[in-house]
Amino acid sequence: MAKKYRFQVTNGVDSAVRVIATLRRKQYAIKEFSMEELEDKSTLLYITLENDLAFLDKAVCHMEKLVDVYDVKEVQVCR
Amino acid sequence: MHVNGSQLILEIFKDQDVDTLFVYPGGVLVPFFDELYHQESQFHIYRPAHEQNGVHAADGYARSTGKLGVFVATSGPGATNTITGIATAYMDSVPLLIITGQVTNSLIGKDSFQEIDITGLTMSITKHNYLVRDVKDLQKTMEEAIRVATTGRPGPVLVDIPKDVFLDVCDYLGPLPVVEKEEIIDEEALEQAIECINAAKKPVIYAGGGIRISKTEEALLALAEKADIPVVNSFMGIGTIDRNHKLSLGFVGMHGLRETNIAVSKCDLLFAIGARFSDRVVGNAERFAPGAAIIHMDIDETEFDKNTRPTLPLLGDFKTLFPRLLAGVKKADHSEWLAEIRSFAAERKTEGMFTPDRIIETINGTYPENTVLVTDVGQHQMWSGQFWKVRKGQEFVTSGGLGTMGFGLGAAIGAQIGNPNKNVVLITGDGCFRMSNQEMVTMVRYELPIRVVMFNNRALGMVRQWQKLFNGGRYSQTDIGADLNYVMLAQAYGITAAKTTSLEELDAVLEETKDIKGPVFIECEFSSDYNVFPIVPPGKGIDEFVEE
Repeated sequence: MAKKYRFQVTNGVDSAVRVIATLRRKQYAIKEFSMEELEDKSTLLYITLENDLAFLDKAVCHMEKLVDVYDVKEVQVCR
Repeated sequence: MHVNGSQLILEIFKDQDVDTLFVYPGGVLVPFFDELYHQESQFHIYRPAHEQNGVHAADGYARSTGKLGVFVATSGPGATNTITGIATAYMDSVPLLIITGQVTNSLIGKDSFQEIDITGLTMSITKHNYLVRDVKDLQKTMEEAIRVATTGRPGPVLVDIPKDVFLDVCDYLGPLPVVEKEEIIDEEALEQAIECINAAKKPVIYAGGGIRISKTEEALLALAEKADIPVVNSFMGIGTIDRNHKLSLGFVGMHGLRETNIAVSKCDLLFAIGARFSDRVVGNAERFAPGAAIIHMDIDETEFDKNTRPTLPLLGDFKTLFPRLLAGVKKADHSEWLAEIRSFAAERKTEGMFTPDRIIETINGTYPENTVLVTDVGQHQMWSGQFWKVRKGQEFVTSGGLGTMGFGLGAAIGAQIGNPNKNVVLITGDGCFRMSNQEMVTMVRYELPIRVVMFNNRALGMVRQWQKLFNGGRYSQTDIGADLNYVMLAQAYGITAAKTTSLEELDAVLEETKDIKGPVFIECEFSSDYNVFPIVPPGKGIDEFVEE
């Protein structure tokens, strides 16, 4: 199963690298990733992960644990 | 107040009650150390021989006091030398602040002299890290770094500061306001947990380092006593219950005592508190506490169901959860269960022998109270966990998660600095001591009365033990020889030192050196064939241990 998540970060590409590095180390399969800078200088990111369901649900905890990540939302179940 | 970056950092330290700094100077830190020079009387400042040991010292200080440990290192190699220390603290959730100097902003990214991307290098071993490019961001970053390091599940935080930021000027008007997060308790999970505890016939509490971090040892004891539940510890949880208490069973897992591992294997409820079900504890996960319901109380949601089958998760701050649990659980009597557990204990056959267990008990007899025990990593660490009776109010400082050989001497230095009125005993091995012995100069310079007891079996004992038990006795690179006179080495630093080969000699040396104000080094030489038992072979359940 794959799920797409949307979240915001405070430190742009540094935060993006931190999120990807964390999920990679926790053995998540990252299928897609994109980022855009918002007008208030915060950054909006989208990430698609492909793993089994229980494992995917934990991904939100791993992201929310990071200091510069907030407002994590599941936006799409891909299959 | 108009201040430069260096002054700002020191003002923040003063306002945040940080009075002890472990530091090592370097080129880009000249502005910072120049400011420190003017304010030396306002801080306790310690310089190790090597940055790695400096981080271990800040770590030992933090573990043994519950305060933030601070280490300041220079850019490039100074920063990279901190990495093992940071990883050690990260694995054991120790609150550290590491400040690294960085080359001037204009030189970053140009492969400049002593330039390294330390935030990139430490991203996966810090709770968070920062590169501060502008002095305007320095106050917010420093205060946030201290808060992140010390709150929630603690951990190391690194702040990388370019040389020009130490010199640039800004205003400091005192600490910035902090917004506290509201805690939400899962009431249904709490009720379920209380019901499980009240219904259990053979319960066991599995208490980890989270108890010590949250300073809830008294609450743990109150809960265990009211519900009459025996307590096993993770290695990091040693010391959260007095080892002499009738409910204390010692640490569980790969080298857990016979009765301890069997108790977990036979229990019908395992209540894990602030523990992370490390592979060293669990062994074969399929066979871990197979007949038990598992409750897992933790402040970190990512720990739930990580290494075990699904558990009942209880998320929250222990200071909030313990009183609720204590109010809900019923007074119980599990004396039959406790007697059954005690019947599993093995008899020891080392009376009067110069064996590691008896050596540890002899040292423990000399320093029974008011003592911080620090260990390095390996066989001596496991023996210490098995046989040192950590009393109420004592500390057991050890590298549990990363298992860092060479951790001990630096950590002991930090522990002694943080606890000047306590005895600090370091039990180390000859392999570990070879990695850190240059810090003897630090013990001498700061007149630290640490008792260093080095087990000399002329081997990298734990790996050698595995080679003996599981690789047909092919001792590849683990016999390290007897080419070094450790007593003379210690004496060269001006340290009182002695070698012992019997319990009588050890007793005499401990007695003779007890009142010496400075450091003491004691070598205990014994056979490399003494091994740590029980041992759970790889892939086996914790009830499938091998005994001597």
